[in-house]
Amino acid sequence: MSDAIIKLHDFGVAYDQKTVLSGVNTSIRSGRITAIIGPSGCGKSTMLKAMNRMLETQKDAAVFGSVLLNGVDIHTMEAEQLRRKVGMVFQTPTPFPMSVYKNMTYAPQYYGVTGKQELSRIVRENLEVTGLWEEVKDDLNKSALKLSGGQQQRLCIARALTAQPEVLLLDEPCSALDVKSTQVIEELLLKLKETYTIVIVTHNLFQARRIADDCIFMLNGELWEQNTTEELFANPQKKETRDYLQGVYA
Amino acid sequence: MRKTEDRIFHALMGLFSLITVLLLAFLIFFIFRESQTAIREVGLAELLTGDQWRPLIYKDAPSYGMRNMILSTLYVAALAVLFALVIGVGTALCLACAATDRQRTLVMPYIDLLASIPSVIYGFIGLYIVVKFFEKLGRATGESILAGGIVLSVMILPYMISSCCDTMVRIRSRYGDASAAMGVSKWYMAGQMVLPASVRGILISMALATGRAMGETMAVMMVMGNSIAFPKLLGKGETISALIAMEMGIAEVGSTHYSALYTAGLVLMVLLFAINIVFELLKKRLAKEGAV
Repeated sequence: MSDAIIKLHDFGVAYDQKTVLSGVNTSIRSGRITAIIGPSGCGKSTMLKAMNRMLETQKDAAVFGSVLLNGVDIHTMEAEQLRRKVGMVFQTPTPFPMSVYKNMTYAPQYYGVTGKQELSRIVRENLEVTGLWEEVKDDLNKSALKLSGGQQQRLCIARALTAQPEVLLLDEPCSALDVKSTQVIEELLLKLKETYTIVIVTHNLFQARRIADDCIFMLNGELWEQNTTEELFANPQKKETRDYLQGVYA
Repeated sequence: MRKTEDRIFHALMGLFSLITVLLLAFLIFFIFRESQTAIREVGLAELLTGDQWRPLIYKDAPSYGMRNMILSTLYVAALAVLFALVIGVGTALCLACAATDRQRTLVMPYIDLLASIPSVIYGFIGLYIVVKFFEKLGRATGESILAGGIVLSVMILPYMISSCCDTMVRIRSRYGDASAAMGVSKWYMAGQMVLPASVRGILISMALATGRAMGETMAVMMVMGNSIAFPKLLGKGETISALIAMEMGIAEVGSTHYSALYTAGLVLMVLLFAINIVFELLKKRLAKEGAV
Protein backbone atom coordinates (compact mmCIF):
# COMPACT_ATOMS: atom_id res chain seq x y z
CA MET A 1 0.00 0.00 0.00
CA SER A 2 1.53 3.35 -0.98
CA ASP A 3 1.28 6.44 1.20
CA ALA A 4 -1.38 9.06 1.01
CA ILE A 5 -0.06 12.23 -0.60
CA ILE A 6 -3.30 14.21 -0.43
CA LYS A 7 -5.85 13.91 2.37
CA LEU A 8 -9.25 15.57 2.62
CA HIS A 9 -10.84 15.98 6.08
CA ASP A 10 -14.53 16.80 6.40
CA PHE A 11 -14.11 18.75 3.25
CA GLY A 12 -16.95 20.76 1.79
CA VAL A 13 -17.58 23.54 -0.74
CA ALA A 14 -20.47 25.96 -1.13
CA TYR A 15 -21.08 28.32 -4.04
CA ASP A 16 -23.08 31.33 -3.11
CA GLN A 17 -24.33 29.53 0.05
CA LYS A 18 -25.45 26.50 -1.95
CA THR A 19 -23.61 23.40 -0.81
CA VAL A 20 -22.08 21.46 -3.69
CA LEU A 21 -19.72 19.25 -1.76
CA SER A 22 -19.89 18.12 1.85
CA GLY A 23 -18.38 15.74 4.35
CA VAL A 24 -15.65 14.43 2.08
CA ASN A 25 -12.99 12.32 3.79
CA THR A 26 -10.51 10.63 1.53
CA SER A 27 -6.88 10.01 0.72
CA ILE A 28 -5.15 10.06 -2.63
CA ARG A 29 -2.34 7.54 -2.71
CA SER A 30 0.94 8.55 -4.23
CA GLY A 31 2.32 7.00 -7.41
CA ARG A 32 -1.10 5.85 -8.55
CA ILE A 33 -3.86 7.04 -10.80
CA THR A 34 -7.03 7.91 -8.96
CA ALA A 35 -10.16 8.44 -11.02
CA ILE A 36 -13.07 10.49 -9.78
CA ILE A 37 -16.29 9.36 -11.42
CA GLY A 38 -19.96 10.16 -11.01
CA PRO A 39 -22.92 11.76 -12.78
CA SER A 40 -22.64 15.38 -13.97
CA GLY A 41 -23.08 17.96 -11.26
CA CYS A 42 -21.99 15.58 -8.51
CA GLY A 43 -19.01 17.70 -7.51
CA LYS A 44 -16.19 15.83 -9.28
CA SER A 45 -14.56 18.89 -10.79
CA THR A 46 -15.13 20.93 -7.68
CA MET A 47 -13.26 18.38 -5.61
CA LEU A 48 -10.42 18.34 -8.11
CA LYS A 49 -10.14 22.10 -8.20
CA ALA A 50 -10.07 22.20 -4.41
CA MET A 51 -6.82 20.26 -4.43
CA ASN A 52 -4.80 23.10 -5.97
CA ARG A 53 -7.04 25.87 -4.71
CA MET A 54 -8.22 26.80 -8.20
CA LEU A 55 -11.65 27.18 -6.63
CA GLU A 56 -10.44 30.50 -5.33
CA THR A 57 -10.49 31.98 -8.81
CA GLN A 58 -14.25 31.45 -8.81
CA LYS A 59 -16.06 34.03 -6.83
CA ASP A 60 -18.39 33.17 -4.00
CA ALA A 61 -16.83 29.75 -3.44
CA ALA A 62 -16.58 28.99 0.27
CA VAL A 63 -14.46 26.07 1.44
CA PHE A 64 -14.82 24.04 4.66
CA GLY A 65 -12.66 21.40 6.29
CA SER A 66 -9.06 20.84 5.31
CA VAL A 67 -6.93 19.51 2.51
CA LEU A 68 -3.49 18.19 3.39
CA LEU A 69 -0.62 17.83 0.94
CA ASN A 70 2.11 15.67 2.47
CA GLY A 71 0.57 16.44 5.85
CA VAL A 72 0.56 20.22 5.39
CA ASP A 73 -2.72 22.11 5.17
CA ILE A 74 -2.74 23.63 1.70
CA HIS A 75 -4.56 26.71 2.94
CA THR A 76 -1.54 27.65 4.99
CA MET A 77 0.67 27.53 1.89
CA GLU A 78 1.15 30.21 -0.74
CA ALA A 79 -1.20 29.42 -3.63
CA GLU A 80 1.72 29.75 -6.08
CA GLN A 81 3.84 27.28 -4.13
CA LEU A 82 0.96 24.83 -3.91
CA ARG A 83 0.18 25.01 -7.62
CA ARG A 84 3.78 24.42 -8.45
CA LYS A 85 3.53 21.12 -6.59
CA VAL A 86 0.06 20.27 -7.80
CA GLY A 87 -0.29 20.87 -11.54
CA MET A 88 -3.50 20.90 -13.50
CA VAL A 89 -4.71 20.12 -17.02
CA PHE A 90 -8.10 21.35 -18.13
CA GLN A 91 -10.98 19.91 -20.08
CA THR A 92 -10.43 21.94 -23.23
CA PRO A 93 -6.80 22.13 -24.34
CA THR A 94 -5.48 25.58 -23.44
CA PRO A 95 -2.11 26.08 -25.11
CA PHE A 96 -1.10 29.71 -24.70
CA PRO A 97 -1.22 31.75 -27.91
CA MET A 98 2.54 31.61 -28.43
CA SER A 99 5.11 29.20 -29.79
CA VAL A 100 5.45 25.63 -28.56
CA TYR A 101 8.84 26.52 -27.11
CA LYS A 102 7.52 29.53 -25.21
CA ASN A 103 4.62 27.49 -23.87
CA MET A 104 7.18 25.13 -22.41
CA THR A 105 9.46 27.79 -20.93
CA TYR A 106 6.62 29.90 -19.51
CA ALA A 107 6.70 28.43 -16.01
CA PRO A 108 10.43 27.56 -15.74
CA GLN A 109 11.37 31.14 -16.60
CA TYR A 110 9.08 32.36 -13.86
CA TYR A 111 10.76 30.00 -11.41
CA GLY A 112 14.09 31.53 -12.32
CA VAL A 113 15.58 29.16 -14.89
CA THR A 114 17.52 31.41 -17.25
CA GLY A 115 20.22 29.39 -19.00
CA LYS A 116 19.41 28.72 -22.61
CA GLN A 117 20.77 25.19 -22.44
CA GLU A 118 18.88 24.44 -19.26
CA LEU A 119 15.66 25.73 -20.78
CA SER A 120 16.16 23.70 -23.94
CA ARG A 121 16.74 20.63 -21.81
CA ILE A 122 13.50 21.16 -19.89
CA VAL A 123 11.60 21.70 -23.13
CA ARG A 124 13.05 18.62 -24.73
CA GLU A 125 12.71 16.25 -21.77
CA ASN A 126 9.11 17.09 -21.06
CA LEU A 127 8.11 17.00 -24.70
CA GLU A 128 9.81 13.63 -24.99
CA VAL A 129 7.88 12.27 -22.03
CA THR A 130 4.62 13.22 -23.70
CA GLY A 131 5.77 11.84 -27.04
CA LEU A 132 5.40 15.22 -28.67
CA TRP A 133 9.10 15.81 -29.24
CA GLU A 134 9.32 13.76 -32.41
CA GLU A 135 6.30 15.55 -33.82
CA VAL A 136 7.36 19.13 -33.13
CA LYS A 137 11.15 19.12 -32.72
CA ASP A 138 11.77 20.69 -36.14
CA ASP A 139 9.36 23.50 -35.54
CA LEU A 140 9.46 24.55 -31.92
CA ASN A 141 8.73 28.13 -32.93
CA LYS A 142 5.44 27.16 -34.49
CA SER A 143 2.37 28.60 -32.81
CA ALA A 144 0.96 26.10 -30.33
CA LEU A 145 -2.50 26.95 -31.62
CA LYS A 146 -1.64 25.23 -34.90
CA LEU A 147 -1.24 21.83 -33.28
CA SER A 148 -4.07 19.31 -33.46
CA GLY A 149 -6.42 18.93 -30.48
CA GLY A 150 -4.66 15.83 -29.19
CA GLN A 151 -1.23 17.42 -29.60
CA GLN A 152 -2.45 20.53 -27.82
CA GLN A 153 -3.61 18.50 -24.85
CA ARG A 154 -0.32 16.63 -24.70
CA LEU A 155 1.45 19.97 -24.85
CA CYS A 156 -0.64 21.12 -21.90
CA ILE A 157 0.39 18.02 -19.96
CA ALA A 158 4.03 18.58 -20.91
CA ARG A 159 3.71 22.22 -19.91
CA ALA A 160 2.25 21.25 -16.53
CA LEU A 161 5.23 18.94 -16.03
CA THR A 162 7.73 21.78 -16.58
CA ALA A 163 6.80 23.01 -13.10
CA GLN A 164 8.02 19.65 -11.74
CA PRO A 165 4.85 18.93 -9.79
CA GLU A 166 4.31 15.98 -7.44
CA VAL A 167 0.65 15.63 -8.32
CA LEU A 168 -1.06 16.12 -11.65
CA LEU A 169 -4.77 16.91 -11.67
CA LEU A 170 -6.66 16.30 -14.90
CA ASP A 171 -10.21 17.50 -15.44
CA GLU A 172 -11.80 15.31 -18.14
CA PRO A 173 -8.72 15.79 -20.33
CA CYS A 174 -10.02 13.63 -23.17
CA SER A 175 -13.59 14.83 -23.46
CA ALA A 176 -12.74 17.13 -26.37
CA LEU A 177 -10.56 14.57 -28.16
CA ASP A 178 -11.08 11.77 -30.64
CA VAL A 179 -10.56 8.08 -29.88
CA LYS A 180 -7.00 7.91 -31.18
CA SER A 181 -5.81 10.96 -29.25
CA THR A 182 -7.58 9.67 -26.16
CA GLN A 183 -5.68 6.42 -26.43
CA VAL A 184 -2.36 8.24 -26.76
CA ILE A 185 -3.11 10.30 -23.67
CA GLU A 186 -4.19 7.28 -21.65
CA GLU A 187 -0.93 5.50 -22.48
CA LEU A 188 0.92 8.64 -21.52
CA LEU A 189 -0.82 8.82 -18.14
CA LEU A 190 0.02 5.19 -17.41
CA LYS A 191 3.66 6.04 -18.10
CA LEU A 192 3.54 9.20 -16.00
CA LYS A 193 2.25 7.52 -12.85
CA GLU A 194 5.71 6.12 -12.27
CA THR A 195 6.89 9.66 -11.53
CA TYR A 196 3.77 11.58 -10.63
CA THR A 197 0.62 11.01 -8.65
CA ILE A 198 -2.34 11.46 -10.96
CA VAL A 199 -5.91 12.38 -10.17
CA ILE A 200 -8.28 12.35 -13.12
CA VAL A 201 -11.91 13.36 -13.34
CA THR A 202 -13.68 11.43 -16.05
CA HIS A 203 -17.22 10.78 -17.16
CA ASN A 204 -15.97 7.83 -19.14
CA LEU A 205 -16.27 4.67 -17.03
CA PHE A 206 -14.27 2.62 -19.50
CA GLN A 207 -11.46 5.13 -19.24
CA ALA A 208 -11.51 4.93 -15.45
CA ARG A 209 -11.40 1.18 -15.69
CA ARG A 210 -8.58 1.16 -18.23
CA ILE A 211 -6.17 3.44 -16.42
CA ALA A 212 -7.12 4.05 -12.80
CA ASP A 213 -5.74 2.14 -9.83
CA ASP A 214 -8.18 3.71 -7.40
CA CYS A 215 -11.65 4.99 -8.01
CA ILE A 216 -13.79 7.50 -6.17
CA PHE A 217 -17.51 7.52 -6.90
CA MET A 218 -19.24 10.81 -6.16
CA LEU A 219 -22.96 11.41 -5.92
CA ASN A 220 -24.94 14.50 -4.97
CA GLY A 221 -21.91 16.31 -3.60
CA GLU A 222 -20.83 13.43 -1.41
CA LEU A 223 -18.13 10.85 -1.65
CA TRP A 224 -20.32 7.81 -2.08
CA GLU A 225 -17.85 5.02 -2.38
CA GLN A 226 -14.10 4.60 -2.80
CA ASN A 227 -12.02 1.54 -3.52
CA THR A 228 -9.43 0.15 -5.85
CA THR A 229 -10.81 0.29 -9.37
CA GLU A 230 -10.91 -3.47 -9.60
CA GLU A 231 -12.91 -3.84 -6.40
CA LEU A 232 -15.24 -0.97 -7.10
CA PHE A 233 -16.21 -2.25 -10.51
CA ALA A 234 -16.38 -5.92 -9.47
CA ASN A 235 -17.98 -5.44 -6.08
CA PRO A 236 -19.75 -2.14 -5.58
CA GLN A 237 -20.94 -1.95 -1.98
CA LYS A 238 -23.79 0.45 -2.48
CA LYS A 239 -26.85 0.24 -4.68
CA GLU A 240 -26.35 3.67 -6.26
CA THR A 241 -22.78 2.83 -7.23
CA ARG A 242 -23.91 -0.39 -8.82
CA ASP A 243 -26.71 1.38 -10.69
CA TYR A 244 -24.30 4.01 -11.98
CA LEU A 245 -21.71 1.49 -13.08
CA GLN A 246 -24.41 -0.44 -14.89
CA GLY A 247 -25.59 2.67 -16.64
CA VAL A 248 -28.94 2.97 -14.87
CA TYR A 249 -28.40 6.75 -14.72
CA ALA A 250 -25.75 9.01 -16.13
CA MET B 1 -49.68 39.58 -46.76
CA ARG B 2 -46.43 38.74 -44.97
CA LYS B 3 -44.69 38.30 -48.24
CA THR B 4 -45.53 41.77 -49.48
CA GLU B 5 -44.41 43.29 -46.20
CA ASP B 6 -41.17 41.37 -46.39
CA ARG B 7 -40.60 42.56 -49.92
CA ILE B 8 -41.24 46.20 -49.01
CA PHE B 9 -38.94 45.87 -46.03
CA HIS B 10 -36.24 44.35 -48.19
CA ALA B 11 -36.58 47.04 -50.82
CA LEU B 12 -36.38 49.79 -48.19
CA MET B 13 -33.30 48.31 -46.56
CA GLY B 14 -31.67 47.92 -49.96
CA LEU B 15 -32.44 51.53 -50.77
CA PHE B 16 -30.98 52.83 -47.51
CA SER B 17 -27.82 50.77 -47.96
CA LEU B 18 -27.51 52.09 -51.48
CA ILE B 19 -27.92 55.68 -50.25
CA THR B 20 -25.15 55.16 -47.69
CA VAL B 21 -22.77 53.76 -50.28
CA LEU B 22 -23.66 56.50 -52.77
CA LEU B 23 -23.16 59.12 -50.09
CA LEU B 24 -19.61 57.95 -49.56
CA ALA B 25 -18.97 57.72 -53.29
CA PHE B 26 -20.30 61.23 -53.88
CA LEU B 27 -18.29 62.57 -50.98
CA ILE B 28 -15.07 61.22 -52.41
CA PHE B 29 -16.02 62.27 -55.92
CA PHE B 30 -16.94 65.77 -54.79
CA ILE B 31 -13.72 66.34 -52.85
CA PHE B 32 -11.77 64.94 -55.76
CA ARG B 33 -13.51 67.16 -58.30
CA GLU B 34 -13.27 70.33 -56.21
CA SER B 35 -9.55 69.81 -55.72
CA GLN B 36 -8.89 69.58 -59.47
CA THR B 37 -8.57 73.35 -60.02
CA ALA B 38 -5.73 73.64 -57.52
CA ILE B 39 -3.98 70.54 -58.77
CA ARG B 40 -4.17 71.85 -62.34
CA GLU B 41 -3.11 75.41 -61.55
CA VAL B 42 -0.53 74.83 -58.80
CA GLY B 43 0.55 71.27 -59.53
CA LEU B 44 0.35 68.32 -57.16
CA ALA B 45 4.07 68.31 -56.41
CA GLU B 46 4.07 71.96 -55.38
CA LEU B 47 0.93 71.45 -53.28
CA LEU B 48 2.43 68.54 -51.40
CA THR B 49 6.01 69.69 -50.99
CA GLY B 50 5.85 73.47 -51.01
CA ASP B 51 6.70 75.05 -47.69
CA GLN B 52 4.80 78.30 -48.13
CA TRP B 53 1.05 78.55 -47.65
CA ARG B 54 0.15 82.13 -48.57
CA PRO B 55 -3.25 81.95 -50.18
CA LEU B 56 -3.49 85.74 -50.46
CA ILE B 57 -0.12 86.88 -51.70
CA TYR B 58 3.48 85.70 -51.65
CA LYS B 59 6.20 87.20 -53.86
CA ASP B 60 3.62 88.73 -56.19
CA ALA B 61 1.61 85.52 -56.38
CA PRO B 62 -0.24 83.31 -53.89
CA SER B 63 1.46 80.09 -52.84
CA TYR B 64 -0.16 76.86 -51.77
CA GLY B 65 2.44 74.50 -50.28
CA MET B 66 1.04 72.33 -47.53
CA ARG B 67 4.10 70.28 -46.64
CA ASN B 68 4.36 71.74 -43.13
CA MET B 69 0.70 71.10 -42.44
CA ILE B 70 1.00 67.50 -43.59
CA LEU B 71 4.04 67.00 -41.38
CA SER B 72 2.36 68.73 -38.43
CA THR B 73 -0.64 66.47 -38.77
CA LEU B 74 1.51 63.36 -38.81
CA TYR B 75 3.74 64.64 -36.03
CA VAL B 76 0.98 65.53 -33.60
CA ALA B 77 -0.97 62.34 -34.36
CA ALA B 78 2.12 60.19 -33.87
CA LEU B 79 2.91 61.91 -30.57
CA ALA B 80 -0.66 61.48 -29.35
CA VAL B 81 -0.80 57.82 -30.33
CA LEU B 82 2.57 57.21 -28.69
CA PHE B 83 1.51 58.80 -25.39
CA ALA B 84 -1.87 57.11 -25.48
CA LEU B 85 -0.27 53.79 -26.35
CA VAL B 86 1.95 53.77 -23.27
CA ILE B 87 -0.75 54.94 -20.87
CA GLY B 88 -3.61 53.11 -22.57
CA VAL B 89 -1.95 49.71 -22.83
CA GLY B 90 -0.75 49.97 -19.24
CA THR B 91 -4.19 50.91 -17.99
CA ALA B 92 -5.87 48.19 -20.01
CA LEU B 93 -3.39 45.59 -18.80
CA CYS B 94 -3.96 46.64 -15.22
CA LEU B 95 -7.74 46.59 -15.58
CA ALA B 96 -7.77 43.26 -17.39
CA CYS B 97 -5.26 41.34 -15.30
CA ALA B 98 -5.02 42.91 -11.87
CA ALA B 99 -8.40 44.47 -11.17
CA THR B 100 -11.33 42.33 -10.08
CA ASP B 101 -14.39 42.14 -12.33
CA ARG B 102 -16.17 44.46 -9.95
CA GLN B 103 -13.44 47.07 -9.98
CA ARG B 104 -13.31 46.93 -13.75
CA THR B 105 -17.05 47.39 -14.22
CA LEU B 106 -16.83 50.29 -11.80
CA VAL B 107 -14.00 52.09 -13.60
CA MET B 108 -14.84 51.41 -17.26
CA PRO B 109 -17.87 53.73 -17.50
CA TYR B 110 -15.76 56.64 -16.29
CA ILE B 111 -13.14 55.96 -18.92
CA ASP B 112 -15.83 55.73 -21.58
CA LEU B 113 -17.23 59.00 -20.32
CA LEU B 114 -13.97 60.69 -21.35
CA ALA B 115 -14.94 59.98 -24.94
CA SER B 116 -18.19 61.87 -24.66
CA ILE B 117 -16.68 65.18 -23.59
CA PRO B 118 -16.92 67.68 -26.48
CA SER B 119 -13.58 68.40 -28.05
CA VAL B 120 -13.87 72.15 -27.50
CA ILE B 121 -13.80 71.43 -23.75
CA TYR B 122 -10.58 69.50 -24.20
CA GLY B 123 -9.18 72.44 -26.16
CA PHE B 124 -10.23 74.82 -23.46
CA ILE B 125 -8.70 72.74 -20.67
CA GLY B 126 -5.61 72.18 -22.78
CA LEU B 127 -5.23 75.89 -23.26
CA TYR B 128 -5.51 76.66 -19.57
CA ILE B 129 -3.55 73.73 -18.18
CA VAL B 130 -1.13 72.30 -20.74
CA VAL B 131 -0.30 75.52 -22.56
CA LYS B 132 -0.10 77.49 -19.30
CA PHE B 133 2.19 74.82 -17.87
CA PHE B 134 4.67 75.23 -20.71
CA GLU B 135 4.53 79.00 -20.30
CA LYS B 136 5.28 78.65 -16.58
CA LEU B 137 8.30 76.56 -17.52
CA GLY B 138 9.58 79.62 -19.29
CA ARG B 139 8.57 79.18 -22.91
CA ALA B 140 7.49 82.39 -24.56
CA THR B 141 4.39 80.65 -25.76
CA GLY B 142 3.09 77.29 -24.65
CA GLU B 143 1.13 76.63 -27.80
CA SER B 144 3.03 73.86 -29.49
CA ILE B 145 2.99 70.50 -31.24
CA LEU B 146 3.78 68.87 -27.89
CA ALA B 147 0.78 70.54 -26.23
CA GLY B 148 -1.38 69.33 -29.12
CA GLY B 149 -0.01 65.82 -28.74
CA ILE B 150 -0.72 65.75 -25.03
CA VAL B 151 -4.28 67.05 -25.33
CA LEU B 152 -4.97 64.73 -28.24
CA SER B 153 -3.59 61.73 -26.38
CA VAL B 154 -6.09 62.25 -23.57
CA MET B 155 -8.85 62.45 -26.14
CA ILE B 156 -7.99 59.15 -27.81
CA LEU B 157 -7.17 57.40 -24.55
CA PRO B 158 -10.69 56.08 -23.87
CA TYR B 159 -10.82 54.39 -27.30
CA MET B 160 -7.42 52.90 -26.77
CA ILE B 161 -8.19 51.62 -23.27
CA SER B 162 -11.58 50.13 -23.96
CA SER B 163 -10.55 48.37 -27.15
CA CYS B 164 -7.29 47.02 -25.66
CA CYS B 165 -9.07 46.04 -22.47
CA ASP B 166 -11.67 44.03 -24.41
CA THR B 167 -8.93 42.03 -26.12
CA MET B 168 -6.99 41.48 -22.92
CA VAL B 169 -10.00 40.44 -20.87
CA ARG B 170 -10.83 37.91 -23.57
CA ILE B 171 -7.32 36.48 -23.46
CA ARG B 172 -7.20 36.44 -19.69
CA SER B 173 -10.53 34.69 -19.30
CA ARG B 174 -9.43 32.07 -21.80
CA TYR B 175 -5.93 31.39 -20.51
CA GLY B 176 -5.90 32.91 -17.02
CA ASP B 177 -6.82 29.72 -15.18
CA ALA B 178 -4.28 27.66 -17.10
CA SER B 179 -1.64 30.22 -16.19
CA ALA B 180 -2.64 30.44 -12.53
CA ALA B 181 -2.63 26.63 -12.32
CA MET B 182 1.09 26.71 -13.10
CA GLY B 183 1.75 28.77 -10.01
CA VAL B 184 2.85 31.97 -11.76
CA SER B 185 1.81 35.41 -10.58
CA LYS B 186 -0.73 37.54 -12.41
CA TRP B 187 1.87 40.18 -13.24
CA TYR B 188 4.04 37.58 -14.92
CA MET B 189 0.99 36.44 -16.83
CA ALA B 190 0.20 40.04 -17.80
CA GLY B 191 3.68 40.72 -19.14
CA GLN B 192 4.61 37.37 -20.63
CA MET B 193 1.32 36.18 -22.02
CA VAL B 194 -1.51 38.68 -22.13
CA LEU B 195 0.57 41.55 -23.52
CA PRO B 196 2.28 39.63 -26.35
CA ALA B 197 -0.98 37.91 -27.22
CA SER B 198 -2.76 41.26 -27.47
CA VAL B 199 -0.43 42.82 -30.03
CA ARG B 200 -2.98 42.44 -32.81
CA GLY B 201 -5.72 43.99 -30.73
CA ILE B 202 -3.37 46.81 -29.77
CA LEU B 203 -2.58 47.46 -33.45
CA ILE B 204 -6.27 47.67 -34.27
CA SER B 205 -6.84 50.16 -31.48
CA MET B 206 -3.83 52.16 -32.70
CA ALA B 207 -5.30 52.32 -36.19
CA LEU B 208 -8.60 53.58 -34.81
CA ALA B 209 -6.84 56.06 -32.56
CA THR B 210 -4.65 57.37 -35.39
CA GLY B 211 -7.75 57.97 -37.46
CA ARG B 212 -9.33 59.96 -34.69
CA ALA B 213 -6.16 61.84 -33.88
CA MET B 214 -5.61 62.95 -37.48
CA GLY B 215 -9.17 64.05 -37.98
CA GLU B 216 -9.57 65.88 -34.69
CA THR B 217 -9.78 69.62 -35.30
CA MET B 218 -11.07 71.84 -32.56
CA ALA B 219 -8.97 70.94 -29.53
CA VAL B 220 -5.80 70.75 -31.57
CA MET B 221 -6.49 74.08 -33.23
CA MET B 222 -6.88 75.69 -29.81
CA VAL B 223 -3.55 74.58 -28.37
CA MET B 224 -1.18 74.37 -31.34
CA GLY B 225 -0.77 77.98 -32.24
CA ASN B 226 -1.61 77.50 -35.93
CA SER B 227 1.54 78.71 -37.55
CA ILE B 228 2.55 77.34 -40.92
CA ALA B 229 6.13 76.88 -39.74
CA PHE B 230 7.99 73.61 -40.09
CA PRO B 231 6.82 71.51 -37.12
CA LYS B 232 9.13 71.30 -34.12
CA LEU B 233 8.26 69.60 -30.84
CA LEU B 234 8.04 72.85 -28.89
CA GLY B 235 7.18 75.05 -31.84
CA LYS B 236 3.81 76.02 -33.20
CA GLY B 237 2.20 74.09 -35.96
CA GLU B 238 -1.02 73.74 -37.88
CA THR B 239 -2.75 70.53 -38.84
CA ILE B 240 -4.58 69.95 -42.11
CA SER B 241 -7.93 69.79 -40.37
CA ALA B 242 -7.25 73.07 -38.56
CA LEU B 243 -6.21 74.66 -41.86
CA ILE B 244 -9.47 73.68 -43.50
CA ALA B 245 -11.57 74.71 -40.52
CA MET B 246 -9.98 78.14 -40.30
CA GLU B 247 -9.81 79.07 -43.95
CA MET B 248 -12.79 77.45 -45.60
CA GLY B 249 -15.05 80.25 -44.36
CA ILE B 250 -13.01 82.99 -45.96
CA ALA B 251 -12.07 81.29 -49.21
CA GLU B 252 -13.97 82.49 -52.25
CA VAL B 253 -16.05 79.67 -53.72
CA GLY B 254 -14.45 78.39 -56.91
CA SER B 255 -11.12 80.12 -56.30
CA THR B 256 -7.76 78.36 -56.30
CA HIS B 257 -7.60 78.87 -52.52
CA TYR B 258 -10.96 77.12 -52.13
CA SER B 259 -9.82 74.27 -54.33
CA ALA B 260 -6.49 73.98 -52.53
CA LEU B 261 -8.37 73.50 -49.25
CA TYR B 262 -10.25 70.65 -50.89
CA THR B 263 -6.94 69.19 -51.95
CA ALA B 264 -5.88 69.39 -48.31
CA GLY B 265 -8.98 67.38 -47.42
CA LEU B 266 -8.14 64.87 -50.11
CA VAL B 267 -4.59 64.53 -48.77
CA LEU B 268 -5.94 63.92 -45.26
CA MET B 269 -8.23 61.20 -46.58
CA VAL B 270 -5.48 59.52 -48.55
CA LEU B 271 -3.13 59.67 -45.56
CA LEU B 272 -5.69 58.01 -43.30
CA PHE B 273 -6.38 55.42 -45.94
CA ALA B 274 -2.68 54.66 -46.31
CA ILE B 275 -2.15 54.41 -42.56
CA ASN B 276 -5.06 52.02 -42.23
CA ILE B 277 -3.59 49.86 -44.97
CA VAL B 278 -0.25 49.75 -43.16
CA PHE B 279 -1.93 48.65 -39.93
CA GLU B 280 -3.95 46.09 -41.84
CA LEU B 281 -0.79 44.65 -43.40
CA LEU B 282 0.93 44.51 -40.01
CA LYS B 283 -2.08 42.69 -38.62
CA LYS B 284 -2.04 40.17 -41.46
CA ARG B 285 1.66 39.60 -41.01
CA LEU B 286 1.15 38.93 -37.30
CA ALA B 287 -1.70 36.57 -38.08
CA LYS B 288 0.65 34.63 -40.32
CA GLU B 289 3.08 34.29 -37.46
CA GLY B 290 0.30 32.81 -35.40
CA ALA B 291 -0.62 35.42 -32.83
CA VAL B 292 -4.29 35.54 -31.89
